[in-house]
Amino acid sequence: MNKVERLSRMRRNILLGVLAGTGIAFVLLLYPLIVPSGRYLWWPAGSGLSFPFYYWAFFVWLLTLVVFVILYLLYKDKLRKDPALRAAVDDERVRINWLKAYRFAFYTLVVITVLMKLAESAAARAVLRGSFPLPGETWFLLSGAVLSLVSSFLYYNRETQDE
Amino acid sequence: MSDEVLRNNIKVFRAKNDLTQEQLADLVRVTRTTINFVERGKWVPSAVLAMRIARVFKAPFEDVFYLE
Repeated sequence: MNKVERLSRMRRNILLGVLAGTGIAFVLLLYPLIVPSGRYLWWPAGSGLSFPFYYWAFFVWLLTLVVFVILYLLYKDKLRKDPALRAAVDDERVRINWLKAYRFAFYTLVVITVLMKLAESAAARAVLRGSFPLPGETWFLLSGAVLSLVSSFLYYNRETQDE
Repeated sequence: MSDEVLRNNIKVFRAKNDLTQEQLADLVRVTRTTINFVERGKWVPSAVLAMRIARVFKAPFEDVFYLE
């Protein structure tokens, strides 16, 4: 395996790590909505209840970001030292794949925002017997954006077998 | 609108020159996956990349790439 392949694989592994960490955080945010007994654990203010899911999600995501940002900086440093290598690793197809991934993430954000507004509606409140947890809005949007961006890039940029 | 698509003979030229996809990728400074996509017609390369590939094979551009 040459340097280009090795660095491409390194990027893929970093993004897979970000995807896994963000995915776990996303599930922790969703859990109180899916499991009725855990619903109110979501909303800490004034409830008097503990709030492990919200904090665990925050912790997992923070840890993911710290670890993988450091790895990403190391990866970028390797590319910075060798412009020819950078041109090969970030070739024209990879750059277009990033643009396609950003477009997909944008549409996903629009859909998430609409769904969240619907969840705030009176009908949804009746079904959920409570309001949609507003403190999670930013979390949902951010983790949804990261999940859709990273997963769509990995999908568009998936590897093929040598022929 | 034209239905023409860009096809190529990269696989044939690679075989003639005894080059793997990885070696060709190194020579034109892209990833092996990109060469694989171009070769299978799943990715239309930029003019610059197409010219570089033809130059590696020391063949006229239209022998390596053609419209179908």
